[in-house]
Amino acid sequence: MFDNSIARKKIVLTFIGPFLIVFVIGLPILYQMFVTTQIRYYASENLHGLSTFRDYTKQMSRSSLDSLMQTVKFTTYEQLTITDPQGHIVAGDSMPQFDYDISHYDGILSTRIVNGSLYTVIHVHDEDGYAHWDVVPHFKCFEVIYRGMLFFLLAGLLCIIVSLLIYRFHLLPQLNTLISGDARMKTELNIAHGVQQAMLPHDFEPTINSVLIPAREVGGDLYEYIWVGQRLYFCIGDVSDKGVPSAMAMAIIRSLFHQTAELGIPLDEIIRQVNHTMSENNTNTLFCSLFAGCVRMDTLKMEYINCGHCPPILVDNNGLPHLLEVVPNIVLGVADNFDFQKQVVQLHTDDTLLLYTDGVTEAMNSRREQFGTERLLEITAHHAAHSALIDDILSQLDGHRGEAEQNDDITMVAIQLHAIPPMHYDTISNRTIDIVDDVLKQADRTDDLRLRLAVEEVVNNIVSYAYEEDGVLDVFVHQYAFSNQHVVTMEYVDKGAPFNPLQKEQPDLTSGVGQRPIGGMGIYLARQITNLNYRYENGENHLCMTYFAK
Amino acid sequence: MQISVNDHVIALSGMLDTNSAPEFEQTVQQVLENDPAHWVLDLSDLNYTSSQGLRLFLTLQKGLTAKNASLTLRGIQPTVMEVFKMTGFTTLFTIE
Repeated sequence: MFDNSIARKKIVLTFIGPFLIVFVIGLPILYQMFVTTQIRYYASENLHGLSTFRDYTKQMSRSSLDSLMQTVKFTTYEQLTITDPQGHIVAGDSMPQFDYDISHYDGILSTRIVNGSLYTVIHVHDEDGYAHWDVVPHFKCFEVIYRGMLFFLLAGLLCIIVSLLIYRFHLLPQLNTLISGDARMKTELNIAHGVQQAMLPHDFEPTINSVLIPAREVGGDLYEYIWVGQRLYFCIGDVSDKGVPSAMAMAIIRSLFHQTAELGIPLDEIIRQVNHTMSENNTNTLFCSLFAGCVRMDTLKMEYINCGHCPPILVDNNGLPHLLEVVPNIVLGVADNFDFQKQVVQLHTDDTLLLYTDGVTEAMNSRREQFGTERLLEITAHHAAHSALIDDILSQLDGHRGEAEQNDDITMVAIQLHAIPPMHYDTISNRTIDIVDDVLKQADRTDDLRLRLAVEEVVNNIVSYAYEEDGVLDVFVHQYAFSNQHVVTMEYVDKGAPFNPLQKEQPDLTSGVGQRPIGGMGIYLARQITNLNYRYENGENHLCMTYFAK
Repeated sequence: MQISVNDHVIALSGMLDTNSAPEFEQTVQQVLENDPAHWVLDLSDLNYTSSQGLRLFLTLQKGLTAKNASLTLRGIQPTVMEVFKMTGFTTLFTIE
């Protein structure tokens, strides 16, 4: 994601940079120019130096002359006398003058300020080659300072103009791209967040409550649940990594699980297929831990497979929680053809199953302490209201985390089930139309003519094909909400001869009256309105119907 | 469901389902045996039909066509029309 600090750095550099360059390089140059100009000026005006008495310094070497000069004191220029530490006057107006011109100038020894005036002590040599010094007053120093200020002012102005030009023609277009890119990215991520949240199944009170809070706009956690007839399939998972790549993987895995579960096939087959599809093209080595389960609503027997995910918490109906015993198996997406071990547990009415991702147990506070599984177990123990469980955990998580940033996606699904027995009918004493009415009543959709049509066709089909004379028909009806849609799922079970109505040839809708066979359209109509799938299991025909209400 | 037969017009009202189909089937048989002429099926008060109803519409149409008579459907309601469209029945009938 675009970082604001990059833009800030660029702006600061654009405006400070030219100043830095001009002043760091310009200042010493200016100083040199300032001094030499003065000396040249002075030397050209005053062809005789102010001072020196050659007798005193004649015998001295250049270095001892310099060290002497460091210790001497200046008085004012107007009556300039320079005395050595012993109090001897070594230079001054009263001293013999020594004429020299700029060709005798050897260099600067030091610059001093005396009584607010600037003096530079320079080396000169005389005709005989003896070294001398002179004190050059910068009587023009204010003018030079003024000029210097003017120089700096102009240089500053130039810097600002250069900076503005760079800003306008180079940086601004770049920033605009960055900022608009950033804004677009943010908008897109917000949309993605909405899409991802909308993808997840909505809570169906009071059976299932769920929450997914990504650490960033989008996350790699997932959960899914879907009823197919009297089976509830569900899963919770955590894709390695966070953010956009894992969010994309999450969407794929969720869809794979949903689509395979929709077929009503056994759980191990679903996991095998999801793992196969994930492993096949997994060039980015993304993997996903997953816990998946399948509960039969009539018996509450749950089959489950754990794919490297943290074990869920099972709170029995006395309020005692424990971690569900799981075989770890392996995460999805790394080992194709892995033989995932399926486990079975008997649930009871009002047991609560809490699925979660490690974003819950490993949520850290500012001291990097984890929330922990123990604490999660404590909260779930004797928790009276199932519907408030997730909210309670979330508020305790918030309390634990304090000011610390959310370090991982947080996902929880709490499932509390009660057994739903199917309705029994026998096909002799119950007229088809009475069964249809009853089923629609169970689904709370007595006035839904589309659903009525599908149910009537299916019941009719079973009644006319399953049994020679009389038989029993079990119908399981369950309704739930999925992504803001009212979903009705049903399972029709009969013990008649194996018969798959979905294998019947579909009617040819384009044929004319003459060729059009009379009949054979019932199941076709039902399939136009609902999703049907069939399996033959334990000597029973199972026909599952899922209907998305309009 | 109610069936009224009047001046070569059969008017159906209510629901044509597994329950009521046999009654309509009798009407269809009578029409085909006794009076194969141009018939109008008035469906303006029919708000539901299952595949059994469709089957009977088709039986009537086929029977009349075979006897050089014809059938026109009138006043099909949206819910019934949806079923007609799903099954391609709109192309098989003369619909007013």
